[in-house]
Amino acid sequence: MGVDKKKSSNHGSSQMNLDIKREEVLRAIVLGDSFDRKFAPVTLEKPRTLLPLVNIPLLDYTLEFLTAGGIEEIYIVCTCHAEQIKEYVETSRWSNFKVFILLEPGCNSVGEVLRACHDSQLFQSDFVLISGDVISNMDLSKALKVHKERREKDKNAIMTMVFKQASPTHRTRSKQDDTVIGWDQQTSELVYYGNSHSTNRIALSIENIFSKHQQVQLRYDLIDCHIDICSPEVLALFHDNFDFLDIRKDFIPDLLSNELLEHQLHTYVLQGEYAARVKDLRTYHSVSKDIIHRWTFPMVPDNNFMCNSTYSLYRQMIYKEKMVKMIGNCKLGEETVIGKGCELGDGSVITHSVLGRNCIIGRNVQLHGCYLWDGVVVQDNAIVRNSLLCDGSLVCNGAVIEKGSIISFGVIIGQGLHVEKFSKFTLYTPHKSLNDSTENDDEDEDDDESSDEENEDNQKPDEEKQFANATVQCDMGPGGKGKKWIIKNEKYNEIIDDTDMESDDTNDDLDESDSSADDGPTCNLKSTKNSGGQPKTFHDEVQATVRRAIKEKHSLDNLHIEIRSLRLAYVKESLDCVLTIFPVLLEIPDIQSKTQKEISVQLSKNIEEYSSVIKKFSLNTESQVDFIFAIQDFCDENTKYQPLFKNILFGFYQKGALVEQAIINWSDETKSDQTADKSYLEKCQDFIDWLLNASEEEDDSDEESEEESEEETDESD
Amino acid sequence: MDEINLETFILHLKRKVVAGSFHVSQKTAQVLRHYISISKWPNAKVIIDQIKSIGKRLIDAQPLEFCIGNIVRRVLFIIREEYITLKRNLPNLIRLDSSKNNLLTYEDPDTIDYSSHIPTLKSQVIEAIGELIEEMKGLHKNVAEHAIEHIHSNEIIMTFGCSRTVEQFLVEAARKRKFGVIVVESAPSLEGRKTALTLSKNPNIDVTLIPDSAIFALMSRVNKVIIGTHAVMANGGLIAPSGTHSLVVAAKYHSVPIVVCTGLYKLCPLYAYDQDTFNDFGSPGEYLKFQEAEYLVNVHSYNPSFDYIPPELVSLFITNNGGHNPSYIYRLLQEYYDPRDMLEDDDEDVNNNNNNNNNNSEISQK
Repeated sequence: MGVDKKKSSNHGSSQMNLDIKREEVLRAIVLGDSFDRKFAPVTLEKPRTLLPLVNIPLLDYTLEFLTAGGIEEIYIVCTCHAEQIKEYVETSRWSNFKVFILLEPGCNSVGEVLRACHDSQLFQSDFVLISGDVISNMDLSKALKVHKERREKDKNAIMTMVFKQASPTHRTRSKQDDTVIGWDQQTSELVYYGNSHSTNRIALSIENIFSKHQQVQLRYDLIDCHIDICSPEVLALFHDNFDFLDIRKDFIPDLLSNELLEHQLHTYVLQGEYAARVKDLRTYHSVSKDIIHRWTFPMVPDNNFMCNSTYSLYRQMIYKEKMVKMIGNCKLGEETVIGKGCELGDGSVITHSVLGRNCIIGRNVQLHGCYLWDGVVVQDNAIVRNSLLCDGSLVCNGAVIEKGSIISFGVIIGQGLHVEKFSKFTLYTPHKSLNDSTENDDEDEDDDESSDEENEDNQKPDEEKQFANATVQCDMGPGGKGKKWIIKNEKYNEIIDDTDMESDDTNDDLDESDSSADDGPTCNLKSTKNSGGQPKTFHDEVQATVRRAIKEKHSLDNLHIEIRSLRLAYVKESLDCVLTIFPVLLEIPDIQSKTQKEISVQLSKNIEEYSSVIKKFSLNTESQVDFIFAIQDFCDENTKYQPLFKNILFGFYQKGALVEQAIINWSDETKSDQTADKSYLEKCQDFIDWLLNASEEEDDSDEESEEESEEETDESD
Repeated sequence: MDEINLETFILHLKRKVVAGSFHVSQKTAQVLRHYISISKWPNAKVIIDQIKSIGKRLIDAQPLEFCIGNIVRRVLFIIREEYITLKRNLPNLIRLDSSKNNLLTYEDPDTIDYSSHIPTLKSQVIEAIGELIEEMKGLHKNVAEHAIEHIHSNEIIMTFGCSRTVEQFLVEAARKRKFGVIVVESAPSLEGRKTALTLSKNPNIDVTLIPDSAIFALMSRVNKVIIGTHAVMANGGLIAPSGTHSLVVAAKYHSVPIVVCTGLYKLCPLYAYDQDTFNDFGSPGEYLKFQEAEYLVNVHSYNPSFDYIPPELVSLFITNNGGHNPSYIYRLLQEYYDPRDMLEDDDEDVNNNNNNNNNNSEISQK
């Protein structure tokens, strides 16, 4: 041992490790749970950290990365499937390292895990917080050194986040993320962190940010690697703020907006090195590709770093373990990984696929872009495209599996069955073992027999219910076994090729998040006055207020006062209020079942009743034009209202909520805009003509109602 | 304790914490010496088997660091040699199986019995391995001693990449002579820049750094190409850093002699026959930006670490025990290794036996 140590200290990087060691033991917290369901239904039976990525469990990549980076003690915090993780670590080569398992079955968020870590008193010095599904070959000791040096100068620099430079549309950058980072280039201090598809603008406050930083760079091309170097203060902050659930969602925004505490977050951007997190099925696919293309070197299959495999690399990115049987004229295409004990039948074609150990492939099988885990059997003449087949699943003779499908553990796809794209099958019965196997809500492990009603009392009753009904029986073909999983995955969480995805997007409904991703971020450098605060909460709260008022028949004056106070609280303008409340005011119960006539009667009644509220906000003409456009959008979204656009407009005009000048301006704008949808304009052309005539008359003789003429004079100013 | 020592070494090899032939072989020798000294073994046969199995694990950890295997073989050779000399010195033991040892002039290597217990063997072996380590330490100097014979005044030498042996060789020559060196940058690692920097500190060496693409253009002015290598194969061919092949072919075209400076620990009893047999591929990140790689979904980018250079392109080897022709390498192999210690071959045999039926189809695939 003595000899060993002396030698290793000759080497540069380990020299530094020794230096750090002398000061304190380096620890890392590995989150053994992701607290989401991106990999359902697979993760119902196996924790995400143990899912194999190119035939090596995800956890191994993370642990290898940490140990190679000089981390001496690793704590894996497990909540669900903890036994599986524990068993795995104890039986693998990690048992020789200081890898500890912390069981925290009660936690169902990152926040609770960190509070538990705080209580354990183990982390009194800087530590690395990492998700258990991160793949990286970065030099961790370098980042640690930077963090330490910064901290020596300034005690408030409590956390360093690692980002990897990519490009906005890079395959490894999860499309579910929409990370926008603002940082001071000189100090690399983080000043803005946004990650939301719902807004396509960002707001930077002048007082908070630009008074302190001369230059701020906004980046939309970074991958958040979920590797954080934290100081003990982070845990303390989580302890103090017991409502923090997540680092990204709660902790960072709070810290950035908090002016009382002078804590600072910093960024560390990787250039040449690789780091990425397997966040969802899509990144599973792309990180697999990155590994096969050797971006993660030295963590590549043929380096056999877990010491239990025998891969070697052949031309065209084919990785093959020893003892693979290839019978007759079977063809191995590019980018293929094949584990030990596989048998490939005559005439089969395998390209772009990863095969685990002991897979048996029959004759004339076609596998393209598939992930087969251990022991999968694909019988003769089957075709599988871009799908994930878990351990022990069986695809019978002649079955066809279309892209994006997930075949979970032990499922049998019957003879000749045609599986449509994006289908998911599982054997798992959520009803019975709901409590101990779902990812988030394993609070009451003791009472396995708890019925559905009890589950509804849980924290997330909706989800529980959803899960209870997640599977349905369906035809699995002759000899098939399994149930269909019917919860649709979120957008961008399917395991398929980019090219396929694009064609799919056009079929899917294009929502705003998509278009915002394409346009890139729209930077709004106005001060927070207009758009600051939380737009979403304001919206929800106002709508709730209006609904309550209508239900409980509050007087409209009171309603107006309530909304106005909300407006002031959230620093909003009158227009925002109007835009938020009018859809609620126009709401008609059971609209789908009513005839057009009933709707129109109900609508005019609503307008009759509530338009005074809108009037009270006394919008100026410009805002009223915006309001009309908003009504137009509203009709676009709710087709039932479309023919009634004119009625709405006329109703509001009659009630004085809209002035004629606004309507005329709107029609002019629509006319002059080439791209605008003119169908609405055509609908109410006669109304506008009438208005135009009326205004001409009005010019001649000032006999109109006083109210309107007053407003008109206001506008002309 | 010992197991951990070995395990950590294996891990370091895998993570490339210990890298570079010289360091790896030094460390391998130390680990083996340590193992021999602390483990208990009754006779040479047992320890040979043990070292063989350890050796296989070390080789598997980093199959392309050929020097690991070389050092393991050297150690085995040392054990055998020491055993035989010690056994000869014990007359009563010889008499025990005298029937076989009557013909002292020839011993059939397969029939030698290594199972006799010789108490002094352990200390002798450890001492001999110590000598091996010392020999390796002085090796750069030994190679450099020959420099004067090969480099003459005002010559222009071309070299490639970064090799300690070559560097010392040139520096040694520069003590007496003045000459020019053209250093090739050797992309994508750009290690040639390091060499250029160190050599430029020497007043007697006139250094020019060129990109890889300029090799052919400048070759006509060069008197000698002096390069290092990663390993020397049994046929006298080289496994050298990628890019060397183009240099060597250019030199051949201009009939410029190619001199390879190497320590004998890089001598490897394996045969390479094409560019793929012994090669490693690094991350494409060295020459490709990650942010651009998205456009390259359907493009494969390879970053090979090594080139195989066939023996006919090499003019001369300069080793720590003098200059040798490539055709003489087989002879050196017999001097340094025992033919029974072919670790890689053993390994493949096992594999072949298990895999007998399917080998044909696999080969047809390739």
